[in-house]
Amino acid sequence: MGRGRLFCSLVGLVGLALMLPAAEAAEVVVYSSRIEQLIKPMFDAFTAASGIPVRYFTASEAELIERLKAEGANTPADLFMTVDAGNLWLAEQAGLLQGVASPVIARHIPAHLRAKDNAWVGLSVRARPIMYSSERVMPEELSTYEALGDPKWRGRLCLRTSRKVYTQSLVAAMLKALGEARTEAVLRAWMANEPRIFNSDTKMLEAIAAGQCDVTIANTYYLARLKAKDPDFPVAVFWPNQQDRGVHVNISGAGITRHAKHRQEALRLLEFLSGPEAQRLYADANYEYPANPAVKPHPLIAAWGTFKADTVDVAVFGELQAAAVKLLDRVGYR
Amino acid sequence: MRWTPWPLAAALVALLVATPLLVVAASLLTPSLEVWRHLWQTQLPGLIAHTLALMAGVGLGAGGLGTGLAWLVATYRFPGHAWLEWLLVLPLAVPTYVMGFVFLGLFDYAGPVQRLWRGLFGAGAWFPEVASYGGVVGVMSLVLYPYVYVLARAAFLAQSATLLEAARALGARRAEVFWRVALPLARPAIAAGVALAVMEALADFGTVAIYNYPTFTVAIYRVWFGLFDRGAATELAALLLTFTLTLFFLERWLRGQARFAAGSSLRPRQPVRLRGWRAGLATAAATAVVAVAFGLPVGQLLGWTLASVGGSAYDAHYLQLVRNTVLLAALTAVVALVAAVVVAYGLRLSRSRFVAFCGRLATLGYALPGSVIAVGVLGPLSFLDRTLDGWLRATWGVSSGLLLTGSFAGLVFAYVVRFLAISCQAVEAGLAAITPSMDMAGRSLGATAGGVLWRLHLPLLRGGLCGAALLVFVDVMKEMPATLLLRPFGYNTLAVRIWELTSESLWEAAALPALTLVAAGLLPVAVLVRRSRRPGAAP
Amino acid sequence: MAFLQLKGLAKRYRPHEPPAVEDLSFGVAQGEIVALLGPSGCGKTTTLRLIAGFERPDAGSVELGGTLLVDRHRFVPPERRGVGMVFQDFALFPHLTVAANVAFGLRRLDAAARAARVEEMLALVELTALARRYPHELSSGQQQRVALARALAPRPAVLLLDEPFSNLDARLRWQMLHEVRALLRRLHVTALFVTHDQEEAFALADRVGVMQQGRLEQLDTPEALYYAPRTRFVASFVGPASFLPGQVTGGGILTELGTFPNDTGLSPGARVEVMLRPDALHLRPHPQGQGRVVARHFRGPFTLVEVQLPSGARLQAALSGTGALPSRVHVEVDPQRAVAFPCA
Repeated sequence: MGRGRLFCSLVGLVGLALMLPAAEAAEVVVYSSRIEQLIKPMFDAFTAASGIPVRYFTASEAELIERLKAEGANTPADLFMTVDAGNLWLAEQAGLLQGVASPVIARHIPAHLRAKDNAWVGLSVRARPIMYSSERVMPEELSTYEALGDPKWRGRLCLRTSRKVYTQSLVAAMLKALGEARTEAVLRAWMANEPRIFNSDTKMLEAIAAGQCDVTIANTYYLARLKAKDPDFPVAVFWPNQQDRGVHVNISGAGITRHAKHRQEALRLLEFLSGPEAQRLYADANYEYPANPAVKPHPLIAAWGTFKADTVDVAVFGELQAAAVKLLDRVGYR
Repeated sequence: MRWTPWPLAAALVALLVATPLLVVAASLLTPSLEVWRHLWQTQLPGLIAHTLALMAGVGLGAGGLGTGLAWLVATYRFPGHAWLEWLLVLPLAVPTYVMGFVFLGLFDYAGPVQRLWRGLFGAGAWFPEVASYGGVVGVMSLVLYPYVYVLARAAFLAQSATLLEAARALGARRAEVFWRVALPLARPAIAAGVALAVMEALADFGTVAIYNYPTFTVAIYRVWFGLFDRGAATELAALLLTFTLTLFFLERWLRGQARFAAGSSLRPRQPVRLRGWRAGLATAAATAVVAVAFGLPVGQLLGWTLASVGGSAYDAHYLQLVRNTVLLAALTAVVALVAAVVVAYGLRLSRSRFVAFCGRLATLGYALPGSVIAVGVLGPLSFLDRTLDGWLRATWGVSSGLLLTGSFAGLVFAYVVRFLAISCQAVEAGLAAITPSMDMAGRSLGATAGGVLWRLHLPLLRGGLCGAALLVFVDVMKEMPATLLLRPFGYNTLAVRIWELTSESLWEAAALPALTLVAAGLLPVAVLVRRSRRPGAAP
Repeated sequence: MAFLQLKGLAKRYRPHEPPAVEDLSFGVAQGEIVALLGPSGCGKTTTLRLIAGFERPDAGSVELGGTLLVDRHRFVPPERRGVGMVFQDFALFPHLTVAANVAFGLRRLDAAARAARVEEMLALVELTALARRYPHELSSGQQQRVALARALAPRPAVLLLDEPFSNLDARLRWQMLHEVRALLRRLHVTALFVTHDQEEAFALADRVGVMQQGRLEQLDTPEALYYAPRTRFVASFVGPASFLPGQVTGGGILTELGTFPNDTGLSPGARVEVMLRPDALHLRPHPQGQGRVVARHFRGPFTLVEVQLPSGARLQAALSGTGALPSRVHVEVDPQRAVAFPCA
């Protein structure tokens, strides 16, 4: 084989690489851990309304953060999008995002669902209430997240793995509200009930339907998807902690990157996403609660009633995540 | 010591490939003591025990299954032999995480099998726990045994019939011949296959995550994603690397002075024709393995695909995804092969311990999760990018932007780091079968070292090289985390699509890309088998 | 009944090819060393494999020490036959040390007895010092001795050797040959070995069987094979021989070199060939002798001289000493040592 030919192909590869980060034209480039299926409709709507094309790149949060860090000032990304508050907070801490002043966003999104300087903005709300078997559990038996440590739930509790950020954020919220000692006591009480640990909310709900366990904590849209397929799916929602801090909610959201090349366009996209048209799409695409209170949720989940949500600043989920994970390690919650 | 070109090139390539691993290892120099203390108090002892148990389980499971089936197929003839011989390789095309979620879906409490079971035997009927140690080991063994099967089968077929006859003449029964002669002689091949299987099990995240089984890799991700501490995560990965290295040297040491190549076979082995219930049993056993390890997952994927037909999984981009996947895998296979030939040939020509060490180091990437390697690759690449960019800006006032980060070069490099073990192993095995006297003959006839490689070894190795390239091809297609992090902007593959869908628990929608991945993996597996069927071909 | 008895043994590998072995019957007495000699493909190795149990015969039987090993109804597997075997490539287990190779067949002994037997065998072949080496670290002569020690260690009833010396160089071959013979004799081992080399067969064996195309042509002492071959193939395969055309008459067999007694049983008029060994011819220098010396081959102890007769027939004669030889000689024959074969 010619060394020449090898060299040629190397040059070709490098040339290919050079061509990629071209195009300074008006567009927005998004790094997203929210998957293509769940963001494309909003981006398409934005492009239709503004004429600005959106290009996006999906991967998991931690990997996107590494990529942003490695690319530094040369990053093509204008907007960083995640499905939880913790990673947005982390990106902000790492100096990867920039704050923006936007009256539009301030009008659309409540303050506790975004960073003070709009370094990141919540775009949808993911509520994580208690869910129970409508065949074997009466709603009167339920009250709070903490009460799931009651011995009557021994062997009847299913929980999501502590590796999942949903669980970590839930515990972070408890740490903020209850303090470390009480949170640890709650987690130990949960563990004493020998919960089955699952790797997926859907699997947990199916396990309840099949009779493997009776009660769990899960995001509402997973149940909504199952109910959409089978209206008689025998699992119901219970809104816990209505007498105190309210139901734990997380956000999916986005922030403009520090080195954004298309800052204006990115801001327009962010504002568009917080507006009624995109919020409607958020609500319909994945049965999430709109972050914009002016937009009503999908009828299927609206039927579960309104609830009091925990209005703790979601940045707490990021701040306390490491403490939450260590606590989970300590009590042996896998 | 005098440096000749080949060993030098081998050492350079090996060191280049080892760079990300060294970056990972170097993290141990600045340990995050606080995290380690926390881990030690909470998880680490359990993690080590669980990881060792997984290694032992998968080693025994995949090793036993692979060796047993290889012996069965190499020694006996039974109905369906010609088909089963290559059908048994097929599970290789199924990604472990796909097998993991299919099995869990089928066999967990809410799955159809247990529902049927409870219907038959009542609500309280006992059923083995799927999300358990046994479940993880079972799933991994079923997917990973072909590594052992392919290598062990080739080793058994290459064994001289006279050695086996000698053993029988000395009073050994057929079973004893297996345990006392054939098995020990095939040990290097089996060990190589088991090493691949165990390393893959160590690096796996998808399956252990689905089954909630805490291994080192799980801990790495937990520390990285949960504690937001990538440094400590890298340190854990370095520990994993040490683990693998220890295992490797242990095997070498146990092997000692014994030789395993028994020269060329004077008399090809004559297969034994099984009759009656024995033949039935052999056919049934081999068929059962194929059915469970391949038929079941593919059937389930097919079912889901049909159920979600017209859904969003198939769209205009879909064929693009397939093309991207295949292109990337093919490109990487070629690069990995060239790197493997340079390294393996350098090792052959040199007696230097340093070159040998570099070669070994370069193949350890297989035991590391793709994400860790990706981060190890990302560091040096972005450093190069920044340096070049800074220099260009300072001297010419232009920016080179991101030349390597997020380019094909970076991604292919990461794959090579991860999969060099596979290609190198195959090339080395092939080279070992070529006697040194052939090198000498070539050199004495006036060929240079490179000429001997080009004119003698490469033609002789063609089968082996092809096999190595195909194994890398299949593995690259399956690789998920490194692809996610390092792929060029806008370049999506099937694995990326599967990640997207499964991360939102959309299993049914993920069935089509998963099925496509399996199908794309079938082609090279078929070619591989056709080649290995020819006498004298290396695996 | 011989100690090792083959009866009517036949084996055909593929339906449309000639049989590898056909109607083979012979016996080997206890303590006897028998060689099977023949060109490659004559069926001698197949015979060994049939005895060892690596092949199943199509017909016939093998008995060893009064036990039936194989016939139409019975097949004793190789490991239960008590047959030792030394292979052409020695087939030493490369993953085992010398000692472990020798110990391989001694499973039934307890550890102490096994160690003692290994030591005894290694001492016997003078390899005690190399007990912990691996086969690839040994010379080919040493490998040969390990193979022998390994095969003999379980005290087999009969030892089979398949071209055991063909992997050794010439000098080593003779040395090993004599060592092996001395050893087999000392241990009173019954042995059957296969070779294509007539000198090897004569040097090692008490009796030699010559095989051709799957059949045993003649099984006899080396002397008998040499001087009284029963077929022309045996005559030509075993040692140098000259053939002189002749015709049967009432007074004997008439040839260019005179008349020989007719022991063929052929009636007058039949054409025959008379085989003459080099040492049956005497050459006497004579200017008018009927033989013309056309070539001479110095063989060390003797010189092989080729002589052409007036008819054109060529004869080989052995001549001791190195004295000058004239170009014409008178040829005399010892009529008792001529053997006649009918022309094909």
